[in-house]
Amino acid sequence: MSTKNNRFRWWALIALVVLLTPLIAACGGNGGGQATEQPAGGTQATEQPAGGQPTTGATGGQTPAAGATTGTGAQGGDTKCASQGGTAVVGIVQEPDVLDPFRTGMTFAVWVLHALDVPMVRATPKSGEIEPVLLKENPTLENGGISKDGLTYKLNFKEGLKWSDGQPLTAKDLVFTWKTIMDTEYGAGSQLGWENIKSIDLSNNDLTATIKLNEVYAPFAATVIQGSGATTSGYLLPEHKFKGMKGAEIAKSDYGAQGKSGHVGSGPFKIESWKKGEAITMVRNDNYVGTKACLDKMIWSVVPSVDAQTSALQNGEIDLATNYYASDIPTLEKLEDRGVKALAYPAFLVERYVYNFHDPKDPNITVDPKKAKPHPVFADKNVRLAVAMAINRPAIVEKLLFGKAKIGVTEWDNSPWFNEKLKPYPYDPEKAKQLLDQAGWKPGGDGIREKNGVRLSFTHRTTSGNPIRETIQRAAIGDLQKVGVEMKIDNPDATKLFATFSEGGVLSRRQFDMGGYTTGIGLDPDFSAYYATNQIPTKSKPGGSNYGGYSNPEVDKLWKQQATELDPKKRKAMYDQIQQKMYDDVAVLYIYDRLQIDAAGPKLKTPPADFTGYIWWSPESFSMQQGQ
Amino acid sequence: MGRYVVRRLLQAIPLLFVISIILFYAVFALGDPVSRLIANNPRTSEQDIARIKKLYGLDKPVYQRYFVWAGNSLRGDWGSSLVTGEKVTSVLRGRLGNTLILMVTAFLVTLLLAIPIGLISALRQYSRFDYFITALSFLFYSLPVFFLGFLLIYLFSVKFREWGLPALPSGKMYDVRGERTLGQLFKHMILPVLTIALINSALYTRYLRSSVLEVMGQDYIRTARSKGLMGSQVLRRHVMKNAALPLVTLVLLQVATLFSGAVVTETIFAWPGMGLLFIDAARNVDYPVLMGILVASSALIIIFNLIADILYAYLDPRIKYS
Repeated sequence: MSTKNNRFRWWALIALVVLLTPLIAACGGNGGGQATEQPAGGTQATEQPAGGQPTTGATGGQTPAAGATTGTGAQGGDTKCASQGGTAVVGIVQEPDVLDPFRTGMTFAVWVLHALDVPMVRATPKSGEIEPVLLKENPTLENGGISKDGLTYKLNFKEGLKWSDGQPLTAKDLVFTWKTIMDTEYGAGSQLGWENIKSIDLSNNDLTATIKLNEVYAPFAATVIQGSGATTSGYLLPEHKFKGMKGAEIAKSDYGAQGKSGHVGSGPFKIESWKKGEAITMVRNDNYVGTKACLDKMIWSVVPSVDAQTSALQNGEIDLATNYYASDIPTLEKLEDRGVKALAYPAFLVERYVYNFHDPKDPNITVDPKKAKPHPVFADKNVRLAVAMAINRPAIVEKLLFGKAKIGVTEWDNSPWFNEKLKPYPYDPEKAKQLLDQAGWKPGGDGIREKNGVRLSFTHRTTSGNPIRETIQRAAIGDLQKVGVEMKIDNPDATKLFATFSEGGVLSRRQFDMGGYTTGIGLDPDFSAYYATNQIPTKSKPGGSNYGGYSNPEVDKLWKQQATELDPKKRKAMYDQIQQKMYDDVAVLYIYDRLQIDAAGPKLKTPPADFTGYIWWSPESFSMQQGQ
Repeated sequence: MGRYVVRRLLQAIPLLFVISIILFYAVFALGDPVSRLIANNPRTSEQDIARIKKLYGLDKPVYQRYFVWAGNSLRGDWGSSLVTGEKVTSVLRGRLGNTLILMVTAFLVTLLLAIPIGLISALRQYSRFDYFITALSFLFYSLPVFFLGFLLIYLFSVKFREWGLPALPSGKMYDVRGERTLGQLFKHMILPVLTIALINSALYTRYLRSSVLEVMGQDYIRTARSKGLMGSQVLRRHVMKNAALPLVTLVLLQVATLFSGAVVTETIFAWPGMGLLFIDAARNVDYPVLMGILVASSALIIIFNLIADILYAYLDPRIKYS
């Protein structure tokens, strides 16, 4: 018991901290459930492109194919109240960071915000249909809301709109929102779309806003005007709340701050209290322009583990548990006799395996992909197709995902932009063998094929510690072995996989043969950031997301054309071509379409999901059977 | 003694400095804070990323960020949360109360369980009770916290409700639908307190048992007995005081962790304390908050370590510091 001993303990402390840190990293990585497995940003909201799409449906059609989706639309339910009144408690894994639509990037904050705010126009359950909420109609080419040259948008606000504190809501708030987002000190997550605005002129007692753009940009409406259950696009900031404040002050105000209840919104509920780390309590907003909320109160309760949420749901402590994995479905089904209902909706999220078109060992890959060596095995299209046909995706969906998911086809699965002519690459190991034989890949001594001394072997990298992903990887290894292809696994942490280029992200630096992750389109179909040649991440241009390095000049041309095509039918035709070409090129292997899975207790009735796969588009339709 | 304390305190300064450097780098090894901040959009442009990095000072290399952080901290400014913009001191203060309620209760329950059980176990060595307690404490000590936590939830919350027995809530501090009363708090505390106390008292019981046994075998105990002292007097005056020695370290280091909370337990039981704050901050790579928690806990551990050493001198006259 002398000082000697204490010195020892000091070092032990340091060692402990060092040892603990990776552990903490692991907690951070896995604790968020789905939230962590997404690229560049870590939260699901992050992956949902902020935009919506220039569609209208009901209000006169910019939709390419309203209602013509793959038939997996929303699951049952309607928007009628089961009864009036009552309180519903919704479990969320993480506490919202900030309830400000343009500064949060957190999935759960995005959901909570839907109860407090409503977009100017919003996506509905019917595929491609956008309904007006704050506006009189969704601006389109047809109704004259968008000018023929695509440079002017006219927004007509409804009369007598009010914020939750009773103050009038007008087009002045739109101007304020634009100016705030463009204020650097405010710290908006993205200025996409907004930075393209040249001017906004107000007329008709501030009820009409005429937006002039710098250049034609097809995703504009979807990024700025329209909203869906997955994003916070289409929202407005209340100007009167921030009288005379600059961006930095707005960011520091009580408007969205944790534990404060200063939020002023336009949605079906308004904030009553926010007990930090515990719950956000909301009451009905009688100034809401739409149908008044069925519930008296909606409480968002922070329950940091999904397993704890399930217990709380069984006990009636919460009425809705959120963000499950497909692997949780059997657990949820076992609870059916206790009145628990699993709600699964096809979101625009596709789990994909990305082929690297270049050799990750070539240092040129992060400098100039044109000079980089082609990938030793995946540069050969036959190999890409053979791999696609050898992996038993029907069995993966049926057995590992309990028949609840669908085999992936394209990036635009389940959306109105999907090319209906395309079918998943068939599972056909015999054909796969033939393809490889024809391409000159002959079985070597250990059964793995070779060609010119190159083994048909590759390393697959996805997030570590995700049970579903690891199970599917193991299944794929077995399937590929049968056709003489070797797949090895080297899974980094989610944070490492998705880190930005400057932080050495595995995807960004293209350090993989095949990479697995999930992302998806938002309301707008534009996904050029993931597939255009000029979006391949390099030292000089690190921001792109074309991790595989796919490059097809014809597709590049189509990306350019679609960005300025305002006629939805013509734009859809371009997307049909993009999908066809990417499909023919075997650019990416889409494994399955992921579901958004929540679970409701016996009393709660939720609305059907909007066509993007989320129930949060209409919190006013949440209701409790037999009162509370 | 005074000089010793001063020297130890002076030693703590470079130590904390080194710890903070290691922690700072470790925190940034968690990932890139911007990846969370850029938010909402996979098509966030390079300009967006550059703009936000600059806004939060993340465009500078890590060592420069460290000096900025360390400089401000020395002036008492721990910075603001990257996520909420709230001052770190105020963020920590907001959670400290909740954590102390849970941890202090759990700590007291632990001592109440461990001291009598450990003593009896030692005094009746190799009795049935001793075997039973030994088995039980090994069982609880080897149970992972999350497992015991969920086991208790399953039994006392889910199953009790099914069986129509008075069930306990599965988590949180209060029923979110109702009033925040003291009774509510008590009901919500039972399971998390039990989780921490069962596991910790298993450890304490073992420590106490072996140290009591060691002391009982000493010559001075035999001397005390042969002087004709009563059994209870021997126990109180000679056994307890000496056996408490190794426990002091354990208890005082435990006291230091009372402030940092129980990460796993708080996560399972949705207890809005420091542990949960830590997990949330780690998820978001909210480095000012993480550094605040980590450096504060390191400092507390160092301080309580020192207190433990001073207490040794009081408890054991053989120890002298100079």
